[in-house]
Amino acid sequence: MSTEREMSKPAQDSPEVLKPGKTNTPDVDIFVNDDEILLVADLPGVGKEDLSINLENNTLTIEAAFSAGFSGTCQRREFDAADYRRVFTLPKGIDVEKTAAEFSNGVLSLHLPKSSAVKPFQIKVESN
Amino acid sequence: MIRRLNDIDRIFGTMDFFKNQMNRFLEDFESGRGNLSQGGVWPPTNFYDDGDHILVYSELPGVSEDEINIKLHNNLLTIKGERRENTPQGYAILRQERNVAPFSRSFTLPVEIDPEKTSASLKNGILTVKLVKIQAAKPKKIVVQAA
Repeated sequence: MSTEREMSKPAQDSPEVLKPGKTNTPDVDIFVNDDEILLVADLPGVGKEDLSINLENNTLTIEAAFSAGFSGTCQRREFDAADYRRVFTLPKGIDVEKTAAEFSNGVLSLHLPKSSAVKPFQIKVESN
Repeated sequence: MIRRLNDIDRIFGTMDFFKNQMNRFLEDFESGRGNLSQGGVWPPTNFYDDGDHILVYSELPGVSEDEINIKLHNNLLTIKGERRENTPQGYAILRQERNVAPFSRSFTLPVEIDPEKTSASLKNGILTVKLVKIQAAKPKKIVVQAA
């Protein structure tokens, strides 16, 4: 039986994290049109200054610290004051320079414009 | 004899297998996968008690003040509303995880509340409802006197 061995063994197979504790995965909506990809994420309890959006090698990382505080003793808990983290892999052809983000009421809207090379191009048929 | 030992080994092997399955199930359970907020109850709400008040915190990202309706009737607190910002115009939906349905939740409060002193605020997508307990429901300090 293997219980003792497992209990005494430190958790080595899980990757190391810099900050301990549970993180929440925010709910997101992703929309697309001809010009851009629009990502909308719910990040309740986060202030604008606690938000970090990182774009590197087609990997988009959204991290946010939960900053709202609760006072008193907890009677019933349905959500944790945990930080948020979610990672996305972006398709090719995103114009990283023109990325824009808005944040209000705990909702992040991230505009990821497509570069002109991948935008759809209409070919007109001319009649003779 | 050797065959019998093999049998015993196999039995223990099977038991180990079931135990591992059970452990994995319990780990999933404890790590909170499938928590309340994913079970369709929206908005997730926390209750805190600081002695004189009951504080209700609801996660309502993207909901503005005028879209929330809070009602207190006897000891029943109802938080109702609708998130109006939905699919932006001219976009196709690739993924939709955020709640779009109108919401309503009711809670029976454990103590009597003074409805006149109730206040609510909304900050960064978290609604805070501050309910003031009536005098009789507040905790009282009992002083021990030396005899």
